Amino acid sequence: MKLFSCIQIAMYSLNYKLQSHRFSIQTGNRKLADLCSPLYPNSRFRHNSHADIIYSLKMRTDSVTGTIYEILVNGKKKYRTNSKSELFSQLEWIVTCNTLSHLREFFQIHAGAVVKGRKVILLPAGHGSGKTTLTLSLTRNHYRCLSDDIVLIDPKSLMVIPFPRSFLIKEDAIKKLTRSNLIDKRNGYYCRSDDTLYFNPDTGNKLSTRKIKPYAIVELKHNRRFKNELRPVSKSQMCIKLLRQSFNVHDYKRKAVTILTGLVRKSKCYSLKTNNVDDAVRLISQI
Amino acid sequence: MEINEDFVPATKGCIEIEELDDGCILYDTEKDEAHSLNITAASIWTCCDGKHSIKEIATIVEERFEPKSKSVVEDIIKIIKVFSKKELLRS
Repeated sequence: MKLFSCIQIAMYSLNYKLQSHRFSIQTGNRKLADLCSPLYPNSRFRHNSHADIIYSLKMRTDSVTGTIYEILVNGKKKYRTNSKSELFSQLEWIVTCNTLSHLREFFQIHAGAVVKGRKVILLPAGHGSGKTTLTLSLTRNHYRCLSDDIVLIDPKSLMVIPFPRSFLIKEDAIKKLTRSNLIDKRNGYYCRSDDTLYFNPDTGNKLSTRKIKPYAIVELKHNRRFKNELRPVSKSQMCIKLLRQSFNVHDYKRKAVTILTGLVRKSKCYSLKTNNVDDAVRLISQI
Repeated sequence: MEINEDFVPATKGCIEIEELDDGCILYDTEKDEAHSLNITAASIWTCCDGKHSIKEIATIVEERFEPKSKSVVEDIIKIIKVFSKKELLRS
């Protein structure tokens, strides 16, 4: 007589390492594991080791609710949806927020970052200022992208640490950037629920993790009516602008001012006003 | 508080300064607020020591910057009023 029956369910475990933070995404569903492949692809980590956070993805179907997807964080239910695409965007958002929360040892700035040779250029700017378009265009002009959206600064050494989040490109920009050959929709995940492409440039090459001090900090302002102009700006003003673009200034308070004054002291500070991306690239290349 | 050329401004003890080549950042440790000053305003700030009147500060600024404006005292009064409005000065 058979006393026990045992069914072994395959468990897919995707491991990630972003600086000191390690996390793992686990699921018993192959399709959900595949769904996660465009999520932080350059931070995948092969070895199974201690994870600070475990995200579990579950899928179940019944005749009443249809297919339900769930995100559990360390075993606790955090999100529930019946859209697979929404599952991806929510997971990306939860992972990004938790990762930033774990990386408070770094000063975090809302900025793009590119590098050519030893020259790292920071591009602090708010949403809708053309940061993504400019960063992508610079990568077509011999620059390497370090970050599109988030830059980490080591408070002690003032080095820039790349944060490899996907480029989040909205529907209206996708067509424009595809026409300009700046993106290829195949290198990312198109999320129908929020009409956003999570684009990963150079998925084949790991992003440089080498730390470099910024050479220049360029504040972006984009408007069709602007004349194209790159002009030096005062370091004290740039410092205030960087404070406004910080994600974790409240963790640092007074120390934030010391970090940022240290950063601007050693960097060239500019304001870039442009009405088109080609001229923006040309002006930045002159730095 | 009337701010005129005889006024002797003094900075609050809770304001810390980070100097830069072209100005400075003031940090109010009580309110957790930061303010940027250009190089002229930064020089005036360092003179707000509770010992110099605005008239005396104007003489120091004139020696340091050779300003083009004839109304240095008036310009300094304006800046001191901004400091006062931002509650950076002792009342």
